[in-house]
Amino acid sequence: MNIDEVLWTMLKLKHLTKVYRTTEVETTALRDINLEIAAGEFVAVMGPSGCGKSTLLNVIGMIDSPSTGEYRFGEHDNIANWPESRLSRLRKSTVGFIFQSFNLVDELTVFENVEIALLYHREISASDRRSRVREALERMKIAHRAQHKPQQLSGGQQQRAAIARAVVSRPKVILADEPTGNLDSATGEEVMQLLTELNGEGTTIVMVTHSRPHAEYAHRIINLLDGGLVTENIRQIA
Amino acid sequence: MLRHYFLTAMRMFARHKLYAFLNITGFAIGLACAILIALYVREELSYDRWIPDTDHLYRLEGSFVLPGREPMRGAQVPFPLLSAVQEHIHGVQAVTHMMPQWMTVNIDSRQFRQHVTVVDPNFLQVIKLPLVAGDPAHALEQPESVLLSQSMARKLFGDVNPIGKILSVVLDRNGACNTADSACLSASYPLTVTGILRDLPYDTQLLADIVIPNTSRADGMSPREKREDWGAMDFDFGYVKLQQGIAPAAVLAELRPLLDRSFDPRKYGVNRKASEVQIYQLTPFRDVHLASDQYGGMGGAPSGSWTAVYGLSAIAVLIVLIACFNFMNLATARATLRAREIALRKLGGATRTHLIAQFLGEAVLMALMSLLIAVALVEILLPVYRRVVDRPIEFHYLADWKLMVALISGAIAVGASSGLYPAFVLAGFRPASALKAGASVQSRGPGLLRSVLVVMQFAVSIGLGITALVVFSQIQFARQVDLGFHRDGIVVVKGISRLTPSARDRLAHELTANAQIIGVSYSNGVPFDLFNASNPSIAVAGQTPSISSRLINADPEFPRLYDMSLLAGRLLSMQRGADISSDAPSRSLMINVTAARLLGFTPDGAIGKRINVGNYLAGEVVGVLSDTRLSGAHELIEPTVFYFDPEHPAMSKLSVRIRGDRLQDAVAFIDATWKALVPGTGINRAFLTDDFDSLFRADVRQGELLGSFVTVAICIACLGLFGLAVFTAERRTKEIGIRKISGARAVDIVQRLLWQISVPVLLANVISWPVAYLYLTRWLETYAYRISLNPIYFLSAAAVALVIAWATVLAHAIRLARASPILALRYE
Repeated sequence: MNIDEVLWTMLKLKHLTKVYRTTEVETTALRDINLEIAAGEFVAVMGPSGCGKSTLLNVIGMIDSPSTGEYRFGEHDNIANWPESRLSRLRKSTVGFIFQSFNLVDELTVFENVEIALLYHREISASDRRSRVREALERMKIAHRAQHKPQQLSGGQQQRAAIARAVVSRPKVILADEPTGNLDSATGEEVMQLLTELNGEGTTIVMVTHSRPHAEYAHRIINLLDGGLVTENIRQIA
Repeated sequence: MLRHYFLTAMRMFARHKLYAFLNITGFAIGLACAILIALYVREELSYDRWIPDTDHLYRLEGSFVLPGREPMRGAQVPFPLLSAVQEHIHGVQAVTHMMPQWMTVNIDSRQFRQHVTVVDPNFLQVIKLPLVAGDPAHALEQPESVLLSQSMARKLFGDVNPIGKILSVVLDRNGACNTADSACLSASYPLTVTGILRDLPYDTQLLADIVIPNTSRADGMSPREKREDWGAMDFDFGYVKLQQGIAPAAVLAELRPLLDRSFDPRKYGVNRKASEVQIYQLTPFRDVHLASDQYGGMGGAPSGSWTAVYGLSAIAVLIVLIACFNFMNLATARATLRAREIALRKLGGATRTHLIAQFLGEAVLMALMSLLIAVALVEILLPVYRRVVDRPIEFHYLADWKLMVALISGAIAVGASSGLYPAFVLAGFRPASALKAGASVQSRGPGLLRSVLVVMQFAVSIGLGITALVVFSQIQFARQVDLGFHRDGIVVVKGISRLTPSARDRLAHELTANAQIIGVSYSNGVPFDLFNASNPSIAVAGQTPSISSRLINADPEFPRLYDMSLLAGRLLSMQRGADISSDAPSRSLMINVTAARLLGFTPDGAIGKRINVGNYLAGEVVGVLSDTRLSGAHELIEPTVFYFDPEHPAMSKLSVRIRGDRLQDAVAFIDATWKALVPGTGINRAFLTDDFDSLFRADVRQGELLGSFVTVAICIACLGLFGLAVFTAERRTKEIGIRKISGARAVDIVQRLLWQISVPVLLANVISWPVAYLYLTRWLETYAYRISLNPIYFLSAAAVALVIAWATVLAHAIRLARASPILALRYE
């Protein structure tokens, strides 16, 4: 490992496969993936339904483990074999998630939903936590709805709340699984602007999307087909 | 249509087995409890209702009041009072005396010790017990006649027609005889069978296996006693039939002046008016079993109480409520799972009414399935239950068709009422929101209601738990209170008063000759049975303030036999004339410490003091004994005076203390000795420890019942809690997933789930503690020696409930907390 890799590579997947087994069927979700994502990069993952996009994102986000292959994250060499508790510690300080269906907890207010992302960071005091949550909400222009329940919000507002939750822990990487899938085009654009802004501040972003125009926001587009990497388009930075 | 609904329901149950299981089991256990309790209550309410024409029939019951003390409730009347009521009080249609007496029935060479009920000749006209043979109008007309119950006739005469047959009786107690007249005491009276009573069922206050008229010579009460014994409130039961429209209160108002005119308590050393010492009430005949038999009934069946009937009914209602709450909880909690089905039905044209009917139908179906299981449970539990409640409770499906109809409609009502709310909630879903992917159909309402229901369930369970703990502890405590005397290995032989003093001495002498027998002692009262002891007021001679006391006539052996300790002075002695004299003014007395204290003396200071006991006894204190709780822990220590008058006719008990190791042999020896000395009469004996245990029988039973029902209530509540935990957690997998990707460890998640279960359980205490406290404070007041309501009972019931709640959901919580978050987040 050379120094450049440590400084510039955010994560690196090597010959990575993921196979789901049930008693009857064996499904290969990811097939020999080799992928390197640099720190500060904005990568879009595209491909038809069932091609393994979400699985790839889950493996990158350390909420699913690969069947074989290597996974290097930042300065940590092969985290594929780490125990869950260690992964959990690494994950909470480095990765933020955004989902197509927002995944907000209906019973909690917007404020409390965002707060969840800091709740399990013991080093952050309660007052720090609250000010960071407020800061994130203001940043996402949703502070005025802080005491509302998710059901009382529009889709765009819900996704902004979810993005606030993803950024409040100041992660190095944000993983977004079709963040605009449930939104109308205007709100979708808004979300893409936000992601671009975050990326501009140095956050690495990996985004799964079906939308070509939204993929165009990324530096690089990766195409997946049947679990394998097909092409990578490096977009010229204008 | 119906078939479709039925199939949908059955498939629903089959697919959601856990849900169906929790609901049906919860309902079934709840209903089984309710059925068992209903059977008990029905049995308790059935007492004496089978006797015709009892609308205006009452039992006249006297309570005895001593100055400065709680009235001693009783259920009997002095014989002459009832006769006077008939004669002098307006509106009384008829009265009848009823007096069960122990006698030995002799037929040829066979002997049976039996209760013989001595009644007025008009008995069958007042209490219309049915006869299977004989003429009710004339059966008791002849003085020396006797009625037998069917089973008694079979026992005495076999299959022979008993009418006209002769049996003879020897009395345990014959008030007409001089105490030294052994010929009179062991006289045998022949009686002719004139009628056969239909066997009395179990549910009656009456004891009537053998009935004779009180005109017979075989009545143990002498004509003098019947005229003059106004103080005896412990022999006779008095039934009064009022004319229509006469209020019992009016009769009682006339009774008081009648009592004052006829009876002067000063004769017994009580300086009060008769109506202040004896207080009467008229209890409706059909209420006697529940209202007043506990204060001393005829003893055919164990007495009941309204408290037990109301208490158990309340428990039944609470348990059924818990089961209903379960159902409502689980049904509304699962609403989301059915949202899509509802939406599709609505799109297909189903109206709200259709849907409500469907869901109500499902609830009722479930309740009916539960009823089937409940009935099976009742069949299984009935034998145990009979023993616990001490009643021959039966459950016949066909004969009890009314009960069956009640049960089925009850189950339908329970199903419908618990299905109603969920049905409205479910039917109210708007199809659009239910079909929208990922949308939640939970509204705040059902969630809040669910929490309230869980709180209520646990409030009931914790309340019952506290009660059970306190009842058990109090029973334990009362059993272990140091009563201050020895009670193991003591056999009490009763009915000694029918022996002449010389026969009595011979019996005592032969018993003490046996090496297994440590000692014997005569007395008019023994521990737990002080019926014959009188309650005069005592005072230091020449001083006026007097205290009420208990007077026990016992021979000098008594304190030694019962291991009572002497604190000052000496015990009485057979060798000293003044100790055993029948000459009232110069007697030697012993008192207990409490009496000494209340009279103003230290134990030593009391020695040599002269005291007056009532108006008829005076003497010098020669010894002071330690305090003893002769009535058990229910009562406070009484100031007690002991004296010995061997000639007194009420020396009815012989205490025999046996060496510990060979009780059976010694008891056989006592029986044999009795039989040789008193051939005409069977022995009446009991272990003192049995009498002691019988003091607690009702309490122990109450404790056992309570304990079982608490267990049931908690079980049902836990079933519900478990179901709720499973379903809410299912609904919250998303939240758990989000928390996990935010860094929550499995421990954090489990802690959180347990805390959420704990909140309603903790809140339940706020409701159950004050209620339990109020109830138990009142209950404990019935004990003179009682435990204090220590917070530990409340805390432990709460802690147990909490731990059970945790245990119920822990495994599930751990499973959830360890599941991979992607499963939760991938699917909506």
